[in-house]
Amino acid sequence: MDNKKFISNDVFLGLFAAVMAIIFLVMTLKFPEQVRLFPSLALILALIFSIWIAAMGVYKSVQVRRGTADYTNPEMKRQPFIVLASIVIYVICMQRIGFFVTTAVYLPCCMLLFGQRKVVPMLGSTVGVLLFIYWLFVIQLKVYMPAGILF
Amino acid sequence: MEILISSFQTLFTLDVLVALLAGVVFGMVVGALPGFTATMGVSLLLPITVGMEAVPALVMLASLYTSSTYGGSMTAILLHTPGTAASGATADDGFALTLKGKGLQAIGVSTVTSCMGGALSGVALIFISPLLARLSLLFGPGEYLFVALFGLTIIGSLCQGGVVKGILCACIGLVVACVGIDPVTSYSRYTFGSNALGSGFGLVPSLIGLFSISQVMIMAEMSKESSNEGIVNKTMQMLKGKILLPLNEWKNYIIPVIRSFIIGLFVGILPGAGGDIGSWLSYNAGKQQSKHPEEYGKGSLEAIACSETANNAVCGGALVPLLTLGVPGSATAAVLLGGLTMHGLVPGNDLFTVQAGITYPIMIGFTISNFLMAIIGLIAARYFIKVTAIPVSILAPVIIVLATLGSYAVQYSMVDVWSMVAFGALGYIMRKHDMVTAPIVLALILGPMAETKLIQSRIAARSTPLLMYFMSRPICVFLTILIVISIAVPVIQSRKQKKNNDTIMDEE
Repeated sequence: MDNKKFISNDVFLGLFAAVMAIIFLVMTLKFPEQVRLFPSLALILALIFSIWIAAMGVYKSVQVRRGTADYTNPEMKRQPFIVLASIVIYVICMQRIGFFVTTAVYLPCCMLLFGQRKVVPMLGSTVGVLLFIYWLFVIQLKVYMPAGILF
Repeated sequence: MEILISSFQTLFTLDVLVALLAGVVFGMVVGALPGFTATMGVSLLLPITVGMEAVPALVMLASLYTSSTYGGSMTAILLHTPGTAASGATADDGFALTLKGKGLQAIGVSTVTSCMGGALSGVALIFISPLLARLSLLFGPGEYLFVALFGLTIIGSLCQGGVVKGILCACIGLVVACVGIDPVTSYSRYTFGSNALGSGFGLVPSLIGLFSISQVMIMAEMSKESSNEGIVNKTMQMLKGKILLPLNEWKNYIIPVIRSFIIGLFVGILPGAGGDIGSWLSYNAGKQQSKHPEEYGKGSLEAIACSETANNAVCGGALVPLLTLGVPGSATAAVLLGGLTMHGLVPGNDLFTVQAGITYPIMIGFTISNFLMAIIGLIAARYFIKVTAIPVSILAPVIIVLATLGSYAVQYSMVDVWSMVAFGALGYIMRKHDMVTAPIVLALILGPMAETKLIQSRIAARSTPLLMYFMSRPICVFLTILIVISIAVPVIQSRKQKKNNDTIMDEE
């Protein structure tokens, strides 16, 4: 990336946190006095430190642009968010279909997502995990598992 | 004395012994896996303890804490990959010994000294804690408010990304802790009309999201298929000889072990200073006092004894302020505090009087777990490194499933599962921006306590201005000084370090 156009992520992070702090502060001011005291203090502190982070980000950006410091923004990769999306789908399916069926399908799919290509470890660990969960949570701890339309 | 005898009777029951063994083994596995922390292990195990009695549940969590610290040393010595930050000081000497064919002896010294450090800190915990707890009887709401604030200031030393970001994280945590119905007035705060948010965000799902799901997302960034099976097998072939040194050689390590135990214990008692600081301080002290300082870093068994004694001694030390004042000394201790509150235990003098029947077995169980850890370690340490051969592609999906189930199992609530997902995403984004997640956890735990004590202080102060009320109380003044020190020291240290780095760069 061209250093002349460099903007530290801390600028955006600080500004975003500051805007959120202001929005929540406005909401908090509508609370009764006793209820708003503590969150107001926390939000005012959050606002101060968000602005501080944004200011440090501006300083960092200026230094990089002048060539007096070397700093790169953290790279946000796509893979972690695909995994997050898979967790969301897993939870939705678990609510509708049930824990064991969803997990039996999700585990090998997620292993594929993480790059596993060997069938035996995939199926072996899926069966092993399901049996372990059934033994520990259902038999030993008597936990009621999320049950959808299926088992 | 009576309480000690009855505690042993409580401990030697089947369910407690099974919990103890499970905690130790699971802790050693978690410790051996690089990237996995004791905090993550405790947070994953926390939901399983919901249905258990308080003693086995907390003995399991406490034993996991100490054995995961030890577990980190096995991969540090044999693979030059510290499983936990606390084993960083062990890695160079341990791996140098492995290359010389003395890996097993290094494991032996690490096992015995970890056991000594942990067990001695457990004994110290049993004797120091009740004395310190009596001091808490002098505390009113004002003092507890300042104790909570003091606990929050440990973020300074928890944040590698900077104190400012750490404090912002704590503020976010304090606001998140306010979500739900206010316990005093029953007024709904930040629920946006949702009944599901009425009771706020659950502590356990938040912890699991922040530590486990964010870690899985970090794992997803790694290469598609990463397994070090080949390296593990090669290392296994290099291990030969006896694991334990001859008895006459152990006398060389008595003084380093005692010195490192004292350093580790005090570092543990100090809020925020974790096992890594304890082991490095002890390593440096050992090097200064050693007859063979030139061997440090090149394969010194004494160096391993110093760092491993200290990092396990930190565990017992960190439990002292946790049980007596409710101030978690580290991120793992904060999660353990979650475990205490989940089982209805409130830190303070009552833990050592009214609930002594629960507290003493936990402390003694913690001490015994160090011996159990040593026995298992001496027998099976060489096989524990095999867990590092498990590929991320198998491990990560299993963690997702266990984390999801764990979040659900606490209250049988899908809202908790969604909280876990949200906190996981938040934790990942924070970690990518040099923000650590531990301050949020501390704030979630200490925030409600601080708010309640603030309200009680206002009532107690009556017409006196609140600031005057606080400053008229000596303990509050003392705690204020400690708070200023705990904020100032990391700032001064980081500036000093920056200055040193600049000087080195200028010289280059």
